[in-house]
Amino acid sequence: MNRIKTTYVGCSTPKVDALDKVLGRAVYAGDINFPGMLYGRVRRADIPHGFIHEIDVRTAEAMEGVVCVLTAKDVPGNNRFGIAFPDQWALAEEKILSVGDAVAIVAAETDEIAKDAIHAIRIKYRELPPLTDLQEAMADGAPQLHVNKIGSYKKKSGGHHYPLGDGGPQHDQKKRKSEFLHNTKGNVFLHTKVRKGDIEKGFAQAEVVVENTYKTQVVDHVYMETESGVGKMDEHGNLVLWNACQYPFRDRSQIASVLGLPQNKVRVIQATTGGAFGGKEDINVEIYIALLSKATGRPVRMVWDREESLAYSTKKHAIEIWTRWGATREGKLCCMEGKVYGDTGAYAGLGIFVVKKCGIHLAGPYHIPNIRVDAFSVYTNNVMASAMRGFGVTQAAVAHEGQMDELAKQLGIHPLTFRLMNALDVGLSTETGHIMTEDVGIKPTLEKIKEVILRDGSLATYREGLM
Amino acid sequence: MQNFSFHSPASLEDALTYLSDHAETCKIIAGGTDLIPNLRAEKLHPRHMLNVLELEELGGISETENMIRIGPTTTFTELIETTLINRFLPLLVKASSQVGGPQIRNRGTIGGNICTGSPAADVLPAVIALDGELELQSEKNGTRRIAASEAVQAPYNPNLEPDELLTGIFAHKLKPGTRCAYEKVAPRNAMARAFMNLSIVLYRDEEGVISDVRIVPGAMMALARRITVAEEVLAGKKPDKSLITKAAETLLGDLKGVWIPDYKIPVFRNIFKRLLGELLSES
Amino acid sequence: MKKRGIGIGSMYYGLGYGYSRPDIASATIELCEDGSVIVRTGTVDFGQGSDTLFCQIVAEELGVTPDNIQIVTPDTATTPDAGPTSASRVAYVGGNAVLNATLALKRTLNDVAESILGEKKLIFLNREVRAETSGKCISFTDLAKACHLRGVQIVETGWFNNTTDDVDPHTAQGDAYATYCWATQLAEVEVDTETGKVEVLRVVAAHDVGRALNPSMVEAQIEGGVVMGMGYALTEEIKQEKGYRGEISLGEYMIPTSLDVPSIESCIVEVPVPTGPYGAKGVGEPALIPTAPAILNAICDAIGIRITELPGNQKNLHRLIQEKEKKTMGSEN
Repeated sequence: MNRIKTTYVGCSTPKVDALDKVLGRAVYAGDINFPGMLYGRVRRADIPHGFIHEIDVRTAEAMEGVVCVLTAKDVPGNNRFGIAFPDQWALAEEKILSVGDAVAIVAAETDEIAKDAIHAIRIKYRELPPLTDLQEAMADGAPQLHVNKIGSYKKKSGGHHYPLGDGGPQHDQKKRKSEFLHNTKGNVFLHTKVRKGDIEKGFAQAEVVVENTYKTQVVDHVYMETESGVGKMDEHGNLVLWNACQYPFRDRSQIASVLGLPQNKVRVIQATTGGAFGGKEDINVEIYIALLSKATGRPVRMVWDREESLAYSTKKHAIEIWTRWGATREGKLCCMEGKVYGDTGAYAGLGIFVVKKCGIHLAGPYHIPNIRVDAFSVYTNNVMASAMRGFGVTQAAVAHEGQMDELAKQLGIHPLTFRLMNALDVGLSTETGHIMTEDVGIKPTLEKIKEVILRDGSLATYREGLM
Repeated sequence: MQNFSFHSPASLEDALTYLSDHAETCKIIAGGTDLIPNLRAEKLHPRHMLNVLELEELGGISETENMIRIGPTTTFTELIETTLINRFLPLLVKASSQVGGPQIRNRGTIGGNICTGSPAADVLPAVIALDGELELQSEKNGTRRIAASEAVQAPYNPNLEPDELLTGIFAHKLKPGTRCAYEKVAPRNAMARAFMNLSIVLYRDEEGVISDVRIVPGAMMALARRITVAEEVLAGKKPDKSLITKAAETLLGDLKGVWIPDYKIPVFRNIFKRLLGELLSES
Repeated sequence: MKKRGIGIGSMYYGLGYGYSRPDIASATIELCEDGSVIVRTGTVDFGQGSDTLFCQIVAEELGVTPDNIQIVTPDTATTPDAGPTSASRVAYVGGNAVLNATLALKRTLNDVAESILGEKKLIFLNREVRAETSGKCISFTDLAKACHLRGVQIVETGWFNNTTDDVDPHTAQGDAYATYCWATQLAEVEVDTETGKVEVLRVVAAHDVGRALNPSMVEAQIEGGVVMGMGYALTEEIKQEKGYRGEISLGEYMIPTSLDVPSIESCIVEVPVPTGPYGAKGVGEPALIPTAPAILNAICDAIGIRITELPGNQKNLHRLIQEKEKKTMGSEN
C-alpha cells in the first residue's frame, strides 16, 4: 500500500479534549446539576445466593429527605435485561445470584441521606449455599443458578413479578421450565469447540510436548471516573440521560425495555467519560436513574463510590486454561489442545463472547495445523464478569506465551527465534483456519524486538542463541 | 452521614480547653491523611473535631545541645528537607521517605503517624529506635512525658488520655559516626501499607566493636518495640556472619503473634540480615 | 538477592466483534456556510482519542484544520449509531465511516470547485482548493458559501460494515475477523528473591497498528496498556471468598503507581491493511495483551520459576521461591 504524503493523518495532533480535561473544565456526569435534582443510591443484596423473603423499606421511606424507594414491583416495563441474554434483573424479584444484586433504589434530597436510607432498608433472605468453584458449578447435578426462561423475554411486555414475601419454595419448581441455549447444560451456557486438522495425528508427530494449567484472576478496570449518570424527564415526556458510557444506543434499548417506553422516547447522551476499558459496556447506573427520575418526576444523579465500583461493577473473567502443545525436534509446532473455563459470575454480560474469543485465540499468533480446544463459559455466584480490555485474549496470551517459552527451552531454541519459526504469515492459517492474505504484522514486530536486543548492550544476556 | 462541629483553636490553651470539654467525643485532626478516609468510610462518627494543624506551638523543629524537638504537626516532607533532621536523626529521614507517596508526605504529619496507632506505621518504629519521648499535655493534668515505645497500647489505641494532646516529640541527637538503616517491604513503591519495616541504629567504636545497637521491627505484629534480646547478642561484639544469623534467630524467637507468618518471618529474616550486613560493611 | 531477567510476549487480536455480531458504524458530515464542519457520529470517545482522530481524518481530506471541525457529542437523538467503543474497532470501523462521509462530501465540493475554477485535478490543502496545473484557487470558505448558494447537498452519510460471518458452530473454523492486530513486547525485570518483589525495569513494545493515525496517541495507548498489564501480572486481584468480597478501596486494590512504572519504549510498526482508513488497524486492547506474558517470561528467565497462577505478587512468588529452594535442597541430599 503506497504511503501518500499527509498533513494531519500520521501526525501527533494534540487531543481536542486535552485542555478541557487538564484545566478541569470538562463536565462529567457527576458535575451536572439541575434544579430540584435528587441523588440516587442502590441497596444491594448482602448474600451471594438465595431468595428474598421480605424487603422492608418503611424506615427508609419515612426518613426526612427521602423522596422515593423503589423495588421490583415498581418496575413499569420488563424487569429483565442484559447484553447477550436478558438474564439480569433491574431490581431483584426473588432470586439473588450475587452479592451486589440491586434489590432497591432510593432517591433523596442529598447523597448523604440516600446513603443513610439504603442502610435502613432491611432484607430477609432464605440463604442458599453459594456456588463459587468453577468445576463444582460445571459438575453434573450442580444446582442450576438460572432457572427461568431467559431467551423468551423479548416477546413479553412486563416481566414476571413475584409478590414479595412469597419466597422461592412456595412456587412450583417443576412448573418452571428450564430453557437453555443450544449446546449448554446446567450452569454452562456456552461451549465453543475449535477443531482444526487432526489432533491425534498432530500429537503422534510431536516429539516434545509441554502441558500446563494457567489460572488468571479477577481484576477491575479502575477507570479514573467511576460509574455516573444523571437522568431526567424533559418537557416532552422523553427520558433523557447523560452518562459515562461506551455505547449509548445499546443502553437506550435496555433502558427503554425496563421503563416500558418506546426507544425513541429515551434519549441517552454520552457525558464526558473518564475511561471505560470495557467496564462501562454493561448497564450500571442507567436503569436506576431512569427508574427514579420517571418515578419522582425530578432529575436524579447517581455516582458510584470507588469502593462500590471495585466491589460491584463488572470485572475481567477469571479463566482457567489447561493446555498441551506439541512440536517437532526441529522446532515446528504441530498440535495444540486446550480446555478453557471462564467464570462469568452471576450474569452473562458479554461473557459468552469473552470466553469464545479466549478459546479461538489460544493458539496465539502462530501456525498450528492441528488444534482441539473446548471453551466453557460458566455461571457461578461470583462477581459478574464481562468485557475488559483484551476480552479473553489477555488470558489466552498468558497461556500461549508461557507454552511457547517452555517449548523453546525444551527444544534448546531461543524464544524469539522459536516464535519467528512458527509465526503466522501470508498463506498460513490461524486457529480458526483463516488463511492470511495480507497485513500479517507478527514477524515485523518480532524483528523489531530482535533489532532492539541486538542493538542494546543492556540486553546482551538475551542474545545467546538468537538467530 | 457525618455530623460534627469543627473547631480551629486560636492557641494551644484554647485547644486544650476544647479537648477537655469534649474529651470523649472529639477527634483531633492535623494532616487528616488517615482520618479523612476513615470518615468517608464511616468507620467513626465523632461529634467534635479539633483542628490542630495551624497551631504554631505544635509546629517547628528546634535543637538544644543534645536533643532535637520536633513539633507533631511537622509533615514528612518537612522532616526530609530539614538539615537538623538529616544531620542528627537521619533515620527519620529514611523512614519518612517511605510514607505513602509525595502527596501524602506533603500533608501527613509525624504526630498523626504516632497517634493513629496503626500497627503498620512507617515512622513510629523509627522514633522508638531513636529512644524518642513524647510530650503530652492536658488542661487538667498539665504536662507529662512517655517513651515513644509506650505511645500505643493496642492497635489504633494510642496511650493518650481522651483530653490529652501530643505537643512535642523529643530525641537525643545521634553520636557522630552512628549509622542508621531503614527498609520497608510493601506491595508497591508508593501508597502501600507495609508488610514490614525495619529500623536499625548502630554505633561501632574505633576497634569495630558494636557499642550501641537498636533494632525495631514494624508492621510485624500489633505493637512495635526494640528487640533487646537481639540487641544483646550484638552489643559489645565484633560482628561476623554467624553473629548476624544468631541475632536474626534470637529476634525471630522473641516475636510473638506475627501476622501472616509464612510470608513475614522468612522475609524478615532476609531483610534483617541484608540490612544489618549492609550497615556493618559500610566503612 | 536481586536477579535480573528478560522475556518476550507476542500476541494477535481479532479486531471487532466477529461471530456475525453487528459491527457497523455510521457518521454524517455537514458543511456550514462559512466552511466550518460538523461531524455527527455515535462513537464514544472515553479518553482514547477518537474525536481527535476523526478531526484529523476530516482535516486531511478537506484540507482544513482540525479546529475547523466540530465533533458532536454522541447522543441517541442526534448522532447516528456507530456501535460501541470496544474491541479496538473505533479507528478502523468508526474511522472508515467518517472517512466515507468525508469523501462523499469531498466529491460534491470537488464538482463545485471544478465548475468554478474551470479545471480538473484539484488539491484540497491549507484551507483552499487549488488547481494542480494552473495554480488557480478558491478559499475553502468561498467554496462552502458557493455550495450553499447553489443548493447542492452538503450533508453526507458514511457507513462502514465490519460484520463478519460467524465461524462454524461445531469446529469454530472460518474467517473469524476482518483484520488482526499484532504485537511483541519485551520486558526486563529484577526479582528480589528475598522478598518476592518484582521490579519491572523496562518494557519495549512493538505494535503493528497498520498505520499510526496519531503516533503520540498510539504511544499513550501502549504506555497505559503496559502499566495495566504490569498490574495484571504482578499485583492486582479482586479477592472473593464464597462469593463475598469486601468493599475495598484503592488503598487495598494494588494498581501500579507512577513510582512503579518502568521505562516504556513504544515502537510503532506499520503493516497497513487495505481496508483500514489510511491502512489503520487498532491498538486499544493489543497494548495490554503482551505485557503480562513478557513479564512472566522475564521472571522465569531470572529465577527459573514459571508463574502459572496470577497475580505473581510478592507473597505468591516468595512461596514459589521457597518451594523451589526446598526441592533443590531435597534433591541435593
